[in-house]
Amino acid sequence: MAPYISAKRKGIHITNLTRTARFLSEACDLVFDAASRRKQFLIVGTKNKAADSVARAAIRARCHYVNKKWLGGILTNWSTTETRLQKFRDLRMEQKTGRLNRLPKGDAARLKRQLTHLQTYLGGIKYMTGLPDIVIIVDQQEEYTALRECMTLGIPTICLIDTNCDPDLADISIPTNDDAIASIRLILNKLVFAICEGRSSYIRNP
Amino acid sequence: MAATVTASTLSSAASLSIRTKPRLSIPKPIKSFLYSKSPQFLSLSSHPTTITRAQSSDIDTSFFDNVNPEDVIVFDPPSPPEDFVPPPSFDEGPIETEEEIAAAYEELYGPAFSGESILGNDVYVMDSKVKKTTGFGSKGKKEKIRDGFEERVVQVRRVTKVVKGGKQLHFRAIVVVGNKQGQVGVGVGKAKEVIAAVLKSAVNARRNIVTVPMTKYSTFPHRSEGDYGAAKVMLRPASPGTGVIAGGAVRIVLEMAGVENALGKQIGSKNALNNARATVVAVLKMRQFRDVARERGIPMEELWK
Repeated sequence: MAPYISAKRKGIHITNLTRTARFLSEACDLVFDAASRRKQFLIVGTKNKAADSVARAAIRARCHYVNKKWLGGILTNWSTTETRLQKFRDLRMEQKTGRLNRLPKGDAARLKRQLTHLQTYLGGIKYMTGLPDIVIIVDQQEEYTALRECMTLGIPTICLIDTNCDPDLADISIPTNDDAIASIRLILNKLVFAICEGRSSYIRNP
Repeated sequence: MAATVTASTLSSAASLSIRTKPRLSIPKPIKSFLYSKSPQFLSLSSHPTTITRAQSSDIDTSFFDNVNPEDVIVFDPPSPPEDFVPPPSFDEGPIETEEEIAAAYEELYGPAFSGESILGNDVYVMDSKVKKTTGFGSKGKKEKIRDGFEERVVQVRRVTKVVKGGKQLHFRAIVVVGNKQGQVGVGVGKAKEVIAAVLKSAVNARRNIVTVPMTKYSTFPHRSEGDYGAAKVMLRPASPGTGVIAGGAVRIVLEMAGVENALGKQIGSKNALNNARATVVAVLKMRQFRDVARERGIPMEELWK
């Protein structure tokens, strides 16, 4: 990470913002192009500071997201995840048609608990039909499992990297401060804007 | 920062993880996207191509040659054009109702697994697309021969795990999968029944497939040795008409690869799985003469002296 650090003041590393800006613009280009080709994105961010902004950013960009804990094997064990998503969908249908009220209390309570469980963990990926094409990861140390899964499957990744992370693992690593909500929001803003632009450019000329 | 450095950044980043399938290539120079609205067109190939081995020239670390970590670098972004309005962040902007969000998602992806359909699509659309994993009575046998790969079972063994209540029996199947055109894979699978174990191992085998370098007479370019565990295998090319002269696991791997003339010997352990893996290791070490000559920059005749 030494090339990406510009100075060290009072024991804190200051990232070199020119390089960050360059990597960010590369990432935006990539994301814009992918969005204009109708690729599917997945944003992963489970830090409790960042969870809320990740969800909102993803909803704004109409992408899938993982907000709460990344269950191991979401991508590598996609067939099992699909089973869970089917169960989620069936439970939602039952809730909408009102079948849950007709069951005895114990069963209804159990099913409702399952529903909330699935909603928290899989709520963001319920529109995902297959493996995503690009994955954006907010903190490499926190989401190491997610990064490893994408690497084994060969999915391109964009990762926000802090000074204690390995920049060679992801495809495009953007050196930032991943502990500050403001910096995460800035990067996500730019990427989300790029995705939206890409999608609208597809609509204009497919 | 020169624009050409960006390509090498990405290639260095992409090629350092060798075991994955080839990633995107982003060759073009970058204008600062932050203020310009014109897109750059990058080449993205998201479908998996054949697995290539990383050459030593792929790893391009020249990005770091001119980088001095102690440089004082001034941040000097280009100024935005006059009519530039920064886009609203995702927090501001109109608050969308749940219905609008659901409608937008459904327009993009279809109803998928959400359980509700606002645009009137069929909610159960994913049922036909999701492959039903094996259940008794479903069409489990239909998935035998797909995508052109032939399977052959090398060994099926009954293995035991001793627990407090008694012995738990499983079957372990080793299967070699290959088309006869130079692609093979060795897989292991365990299950409580033989057929299930064979299916699992076939799936596993399809996941680690290697290409065998072959000459036009269906033999190897040169000798090679490979070892895995205590099993050591020696492979040697042979003239046409010889056939595959090798024992057990090695013979099956070579036959499924489409190699017609070869000699092979199991030196060391005779364990079937380890010998199959050792042949794969040996085959991975082989290079075609053309590639070596190209890498070293010398004509092919020099290699045979």
